Amino acid sequence: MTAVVEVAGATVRVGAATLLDGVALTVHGGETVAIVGPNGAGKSTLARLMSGDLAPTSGDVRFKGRALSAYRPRDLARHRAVLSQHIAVNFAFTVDEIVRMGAGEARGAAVEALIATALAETGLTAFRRRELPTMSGGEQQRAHFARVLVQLACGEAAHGPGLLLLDEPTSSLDLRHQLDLVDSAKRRAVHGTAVVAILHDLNLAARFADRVVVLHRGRGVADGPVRDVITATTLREVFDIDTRVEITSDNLPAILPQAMQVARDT
Amino acid sequence: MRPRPTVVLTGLTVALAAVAVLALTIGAAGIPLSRLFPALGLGAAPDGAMLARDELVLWSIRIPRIVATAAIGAMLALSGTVMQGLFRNPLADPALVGVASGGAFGAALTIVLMDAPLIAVPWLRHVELLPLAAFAGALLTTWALYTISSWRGRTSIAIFLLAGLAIAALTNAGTGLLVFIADDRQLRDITFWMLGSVSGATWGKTATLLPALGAGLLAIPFIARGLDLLVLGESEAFHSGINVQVLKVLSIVVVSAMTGVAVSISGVIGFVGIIVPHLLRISIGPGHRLLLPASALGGAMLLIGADTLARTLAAPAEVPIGILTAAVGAPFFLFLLLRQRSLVTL
Repeated sequence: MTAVVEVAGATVRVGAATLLDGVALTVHGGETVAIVGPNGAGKSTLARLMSGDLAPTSGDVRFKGRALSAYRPRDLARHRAVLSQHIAVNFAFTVDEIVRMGAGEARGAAVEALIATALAETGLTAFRRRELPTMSGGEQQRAHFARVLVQLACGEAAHGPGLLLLDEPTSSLDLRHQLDLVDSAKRRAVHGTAVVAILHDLNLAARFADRVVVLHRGRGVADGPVRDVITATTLREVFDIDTRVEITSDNLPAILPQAMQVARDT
Repeated sequence: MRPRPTVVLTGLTVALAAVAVLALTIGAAGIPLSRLFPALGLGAAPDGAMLARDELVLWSIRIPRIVATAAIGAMLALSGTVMQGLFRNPLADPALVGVASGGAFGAALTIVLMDAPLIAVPWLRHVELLPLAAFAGALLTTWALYTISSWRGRTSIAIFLLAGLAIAALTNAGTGLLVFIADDRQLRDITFWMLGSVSGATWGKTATLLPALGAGLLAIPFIARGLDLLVLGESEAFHSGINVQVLKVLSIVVVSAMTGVAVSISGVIGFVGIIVPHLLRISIGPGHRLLLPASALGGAMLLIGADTLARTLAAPAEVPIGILTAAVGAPFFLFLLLRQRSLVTL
C-alpha cells in the first residue's frame, strides 16, 4: 500500500497558542481513519493541514510523495476531496447544479453516471431539482457530500485512488443518514481511497474506522486499531469521563458513558 | 428546468436591440421609425432637409448617448453580479456599499485638484484622468470592504452591509469636503455630475467606457466557475481546485474598474446592479457562466429604458437618471430584504 498523505512532526502555532504539537500521521490507500478528541484538541487543524488549507509552522506534509505546498489548487483537487462542516449557500443553486460542481469542467455520459450514483447514494435523486436554500441542514449536507463524491470519482478516474477528507460529516444528519454516509465512505476505501474523518460520535467512529487517532491538547496520544484505542482507560484520560466499553456481537466497541449507565441500572 | 443559454442570450440581445431602436426614435426631436432607417443610412431618404437634421441629432447626440448608456448599464449590472458572487451575498451592489461613492470621491478629487499646479499632470487630459481616479477610488473602497467583512474565509452579510454603510459615509464626507472647498465652476461640475446623468455623453466620453467594459466581459470566462464555487465558501472553492487569491484579485479589479469608470461618466446610479442580476437569477438560475453575460445585456437594456424615460417624463427637462433608478430600485431592494429574510442568515 502506498502512503497517500504523510504528516510528519507537524506543529501549528497561531500567536502564542500551539494548536498542534509535533503530530505525525500517515494514511495509506484503502485505510479508514477516524480522528477523535475533545473540543480544541486540534482535530480541525490537522484536517486543514491535510487538505492544504493551512501550512504547518514547522514539520512536513507530503501528499502522494510530493510536498503538499508544491501542488497547485487545481491539481490538488484531482487527488483529494474535502467535505467541510458548515456550508451556507445563499444562492438558489439546485441540488443537481451543486453536485455537478464536483465534476469541474468535465462533461459527458461518464460524468452523468457519476452524478446519478452520488445522488442515489445520498438519497437525493428525487431532490435533484430542489433549490438548496429551501432544504434542511441535513439535506444540504448530503448534497455537499454527493458533490464531494463526484469530485473524488472524477479525480480517481484519471489519477488513481486519492484522499477523502471528512470534517464532522454527520453533524446535521439523522441516524439513518449517518450510517449511510459511513457506508459510502467505507465503500470508497474498499476501492483504494484513503478516507479520513473527524468524528465526535465515538460509536460511529468505531463503526467507520479501521484505525482511530486520538488527539489531546494538540498532541497525538493514541493511534491504532479501534479495539486497542477505544478503551475505558483512554477515554478517561482524554475526555475526562467514566465509561463502560462493551464489545458488541459484531466485534466492535460500544461506548456507554457512566451517567447513562447509572440511568440504565436503576 | 433552466432555460437553454443560447435561447437566453439570443432573447436578451434581440430585446436589447429593440429597446435601443425605440430609444433612438424618442426624444425632444422625435424621429419616427420611417425616418430612422434612412437617417442611419439604411434605405432611401424621403426628404433632404429632414434627413440632414435627423442625421445630426442621431449621430452627434442620440447614438453616443445610447451607446454610453448601454455600456454604463452593462457595467453596473455586471459589476453588481460579480460583487454578489465575490461576497456570496445577493444584496451586494457597488452603489449601495460605498464602492461607487469611493469612485465618486476619486473623480471629485480630480475635478477640484486638477487646477492646482502641484497635481496637474501635463500628459493626462481630464477625460482620461477622471475615470482613472474613479477606478482608484473604487478599488480602494472594494479592497477595504473585502478586508473588513471577510474573516477566515467567511463573509458576514451584516458586517459587510454595515461596513459598506460606514465606507459610503466616509467617502461621502470626503466628497462633501471637496464640495466645500471647490470654487464655483468646480462646484457646478461636481453637482451636475453627482446627480447621476448620461446627458453629457459624447463620443469621447463613450470611448473611455469601452476599455473597462471590455475588461469586464473578457474576465467572464476566467471567473465564472470560480464564482460558482465561491458561493460554497473560500475553503470549499479552494478544495474544488480554485486559486481563490487570483479569483478575488481579478474580481475586485474588474468590479472597481467598471464601477469607477461608469461613475466617472454618469455619477452614481444605484440599484441597477441589484435589480438586473436578481430578476435574472429567478428566471435563469444563479450559475455565473450564463448569469454574467446575461447581466451585461440586461443592464444595458434596463438603463437605456430608464434613460429614455428620464428624457421624456418631464420633457423638455430631464429627470436625473440616478433619481429614477433609486425611486424604483430602493423599494425593490426592500422587497428583496423582506422576501429573503428567512433564507439569508445575517
